[in-house]
Amino acid sequence: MVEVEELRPHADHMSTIEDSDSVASIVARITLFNAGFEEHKQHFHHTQLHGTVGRDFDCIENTLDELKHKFTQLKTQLKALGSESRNGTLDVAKYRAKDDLASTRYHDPWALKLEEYKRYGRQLIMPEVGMPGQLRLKASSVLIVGAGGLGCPAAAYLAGAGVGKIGIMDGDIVEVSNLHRQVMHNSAWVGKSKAVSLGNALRLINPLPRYEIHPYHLVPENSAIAAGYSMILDCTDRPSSRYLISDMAVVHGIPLVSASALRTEGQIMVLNDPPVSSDSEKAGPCYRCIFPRPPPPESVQSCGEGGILGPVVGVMGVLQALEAVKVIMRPPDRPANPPSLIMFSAYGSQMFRTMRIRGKNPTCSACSSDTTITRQSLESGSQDYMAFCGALEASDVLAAKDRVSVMDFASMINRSGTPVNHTLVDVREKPQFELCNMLGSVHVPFSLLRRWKNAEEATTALSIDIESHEPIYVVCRLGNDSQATVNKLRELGIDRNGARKIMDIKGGWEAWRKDIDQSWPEY
Amino acid sequence: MEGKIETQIMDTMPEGKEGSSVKIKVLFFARARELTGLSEMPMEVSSGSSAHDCLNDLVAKFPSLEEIRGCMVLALNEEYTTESAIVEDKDELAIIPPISGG
Ligand SMILES: [Zn+2]
Repeated sequence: MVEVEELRPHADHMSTIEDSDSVASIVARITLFNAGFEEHKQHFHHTQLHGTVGRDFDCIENTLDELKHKFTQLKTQLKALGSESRNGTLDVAKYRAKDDLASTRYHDPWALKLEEYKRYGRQLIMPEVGMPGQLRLKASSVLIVGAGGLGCPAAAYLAGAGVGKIGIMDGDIVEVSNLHRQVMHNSAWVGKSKAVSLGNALRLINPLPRYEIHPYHLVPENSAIAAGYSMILDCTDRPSSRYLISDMAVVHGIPLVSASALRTEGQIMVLNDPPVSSDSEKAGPCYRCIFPRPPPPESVQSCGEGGILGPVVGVMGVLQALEAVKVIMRPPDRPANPPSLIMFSAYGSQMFRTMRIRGKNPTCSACSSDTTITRQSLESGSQDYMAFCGALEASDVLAAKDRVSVMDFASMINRSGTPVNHTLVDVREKPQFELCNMLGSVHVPFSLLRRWKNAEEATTALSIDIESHEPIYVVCRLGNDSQATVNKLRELGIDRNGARKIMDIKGGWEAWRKDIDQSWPEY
Repeated sequence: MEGKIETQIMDTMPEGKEGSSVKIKVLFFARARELTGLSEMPMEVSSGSSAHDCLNDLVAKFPSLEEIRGCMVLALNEEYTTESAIVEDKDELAIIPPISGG
């Protein structure tokens, strides 16, 4: 335990510095205090503390900041004095006037550092922010899980606004295909930690907040990290982490701003606001109250699979920062907004829609009074989020005899030039097919063929003769949809009970690029 | 073409019940929009129909919607609703599955 009581006398002692004190004595005392403070800080980081002790700790750190500031001012004064006297032009009367003014208490101590007034001036003069809002921002601490398309803009605006402490958690590395939307990373940082990259970028925007970088993935076992924060932002990209983060917010009693985006659409909700622990009557819903059942894995696509328009996820990340500062700056006597889901559709007839969503579900498995999810059960790892959300079966849907390797397929191409003795069906969606394709292949997108109801639809679209014996090879990007297509064609009877060979190309074009043709584009 | 609002008339009126129907607008979001290929669609159902009835009709027309039936949120006129809610003439029924990406 950090002995906060022990720190206090030091702090009190330091705050009684008089202008009459010699600079040397102030320096000595600050140095002494600093050393003690650093020692306690180390101690603090080694023990998992939170709650009131954490707040005392922040308070002491602020005192230290202010003392350092005062010290700098005194040093500047002394320097000015020295240079004037060296030049032999010391105007004693003028200096005395300034000195008198400085020692006259004609105002209370400023609540912010001078550089903060300057830095936050444009928002400080707004009625929505003002001094109370800025002080709330400074006292807040936000954990951002995910340093990607949502986390980049969200973190940038929170750092700029002067949130006191920002945590960045992400175990991924920067990839070149991230850079069209994850705007705080840069090409020089490809291959390195996203969390570290984002932290570096934030320090350049605003060096004043405290940044805590967690360059690893969130799992239930390390979810205690939320204890050091007053709010969480869910900037992740899969259902399992969305439920885990919601449960973290509930057990730690802190609000959550959850946003998501795919292709041209996005969703954002402020959840657990106010938190369950405060006043369960007024508490806001959690993610499980709204979406008690996760989407089936076959309906879930990542941005890597489904695609994402950069500004779409950017809009959602910026909205997330906006909702976060609104919650942080809200005066304690003002009620939270009614729970709502903001939906963004870049190409919709109406770009933004706000849907009023339900309040807390009295039988919610996470936030109701009879929940089984506790901080302990969470951190012990007994909640299995992967199992809850399910996973697509490993990509071997078909038996080995129904699959052809890219090697074998390549040898068939080589023998006969372009495919003449077989039909090659490419089932990628149209934009992907237009990026790169093989001459002579037949294009039928999977989204279309999965709706086929009879063999005629298939034979027409593929322009094949139902009686033919020519084998059909099916290919897609990674080798999943191609297997589902083989099964679909069999269901429709195209294989005439095995008389005609229908096979998928194992691993799809990605395997083709890796093993056969490096000039095939990677996308 | 994505973005362009495609509409389609759907008549699920039982025969012989003319005059006792309501016309509503169904809005599809995210995965629901992908599965149906539509952003929105007018729909005619017999008066007294619930959101549940409307969903049954929709799944009959678009069987692939079954995939997200368990995880979707329903909103009637931009407000959360349950499947038991009765739809009225000119109502807007929104079908909202969660988006998980980011
Ligand atoms: Zn809940």
